[in-house]
Amino acid sequence: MQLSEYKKGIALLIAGLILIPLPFIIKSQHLMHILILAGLESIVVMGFVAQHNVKLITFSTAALWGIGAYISGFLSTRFGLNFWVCLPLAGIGTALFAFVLGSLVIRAGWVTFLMISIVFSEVFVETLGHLSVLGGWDGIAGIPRPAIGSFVFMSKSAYYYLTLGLTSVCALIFAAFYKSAIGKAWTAINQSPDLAASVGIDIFKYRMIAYVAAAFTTGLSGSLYAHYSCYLVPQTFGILRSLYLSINAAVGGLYFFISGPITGSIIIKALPEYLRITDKYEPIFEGAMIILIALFFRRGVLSFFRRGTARSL
Amino acid sequence: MQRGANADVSYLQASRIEKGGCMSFQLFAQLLLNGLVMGSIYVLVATGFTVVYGTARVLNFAHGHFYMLGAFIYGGLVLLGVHWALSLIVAGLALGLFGLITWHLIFKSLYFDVFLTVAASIGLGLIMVQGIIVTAGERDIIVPSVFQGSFEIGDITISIEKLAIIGISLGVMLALNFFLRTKTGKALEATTIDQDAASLQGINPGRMFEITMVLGSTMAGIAGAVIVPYLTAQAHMGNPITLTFLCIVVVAGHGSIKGAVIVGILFGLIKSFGYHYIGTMDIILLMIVVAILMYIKPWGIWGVEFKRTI
Repeated sequence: MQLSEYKKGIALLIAGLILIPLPFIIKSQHLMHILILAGLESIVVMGFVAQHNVKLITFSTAALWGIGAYISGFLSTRFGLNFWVCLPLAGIGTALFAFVLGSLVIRAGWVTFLMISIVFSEVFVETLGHLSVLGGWDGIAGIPRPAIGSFVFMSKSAYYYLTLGLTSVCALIFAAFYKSAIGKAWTAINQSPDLAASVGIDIFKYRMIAYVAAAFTTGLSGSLYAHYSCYLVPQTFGILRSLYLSINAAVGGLYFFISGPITGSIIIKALPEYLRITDKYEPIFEGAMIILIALFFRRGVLSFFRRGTARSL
Repeated sequence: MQRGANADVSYLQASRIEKGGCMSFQLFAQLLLNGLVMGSIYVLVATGFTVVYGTARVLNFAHGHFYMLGAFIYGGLVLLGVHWALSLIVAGLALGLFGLITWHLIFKSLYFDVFLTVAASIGLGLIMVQGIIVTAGERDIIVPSVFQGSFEIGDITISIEKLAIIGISLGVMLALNFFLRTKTGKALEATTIDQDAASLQGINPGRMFEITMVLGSTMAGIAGAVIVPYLTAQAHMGNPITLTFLCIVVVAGHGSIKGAVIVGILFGLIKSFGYHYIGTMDIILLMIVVAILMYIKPWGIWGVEFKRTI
């Protein structure tokens, strides 16, 4: 079922009315923290969904996120660069990296891409841990907070609006992609790679575009993450983080390209806060949850409201 | 968790002699032997993974943790005083059963949905590692070796334990080779090549998937059981080997047993010599090798360009 433009406008308006005054309603700092993280993760998950849409399954999203974060953290602590300079540089740097890695791996098909992504995210953490330039296992500390003139982003609500802005920009970037001819080619590849190739769609090129675009927005998100947490350690960007990010996508629904990641990230980030289990058994429950979601819940939360088609944002 | 990524080469520290100076023949022989030992384990694990992927199309990323579970079952039985050969067989059979159960509970219904298969298998790995941590703790458990002693050829000291590891791996690979020549093995191969055509010839693909799952899991379990006296049993020991066997399968080509054997031994040697000369950053060397090979041979050296893998 396609939503008409009118209904989409209403949905956006409601979302805006809920999201914009939220810091004035919620008093809990911890809840604001969760919302900010969910916003940052939703950008990354949008990239994951875009890659899944061209049948590239990746488990290195967190590693790309980490590349953006480390570029930003390194530049701002070593060279004293401003956040507003670091942000685009992190995006471009991550996109460049993805371009090099993608040109090596994407041609080999999705199975190899999947395996290499897992290897890459393991190696990424290991390499960061051994590079003393980037702080090794102790990480980078003391990353400056973003500022406009004399106004420094200190409070959670200031960061909330910054995150909301960045998430909206990334959502717009992806929406533009999905609306354009590139998005139509992505859909064609999603539905049948063989058929798409037979009508002259260059699969490699369009996969590359999806991968690099996802890396760009992921880098932006990583940069804001670095300037929000002010402290980076390699273990944050391991394979488990990537797995959880992909679970966000699955919970929201893999065929809801923009609303799915946002909904899924908020649910997955907020849920553990209300389901506190003892530390020792937590990974067991998490693993069981992942398997149960995969077995019984594959279409995502949003599919309760409307059926996800390959063209629904 | 990621810190343990190079744990499987820490044993080499024992044989690590002063750096610098020319390489003596003794050192070379020791490194070669260590490389062969590690390589034969890589071969067992990578072949198990590639058999399961080639036929059942299950990308089982918990395969490395199956190896860990095999090591713990063997170690537990040996520490309880059970005979080593019996423990080895029990570890293999238990893992085979475990693979069958996971196939029926999880992978069967996720068939062909790759993303969910991988996510579920990583979740399964999480459960297995934490289950071991809850029951056995996170510490290293030393399992006594049954093959004590060593003998000398000229200047070179060869421990019987290392030879036994290589021998058992060789035996398992030969057994697999004989199995693939039987009628069931041929049916397995037919299913690997074309599932639809095989089912037209009266082969039940579902049964073949069960057999491969049992086969692959058993091989992972035996690999873990064989190597555990040499290393130590540790809950996270599945992580570094997962990394390695993924590289091996990518380089060798998906579903190619011959490739997995050759590249597995090669990777063991690279790991052994690389660790001696470069240190813990040898993984970077490995990645560079993999990247170059990926560029030259995108489908792997012995890989077949599957239509499905576009």
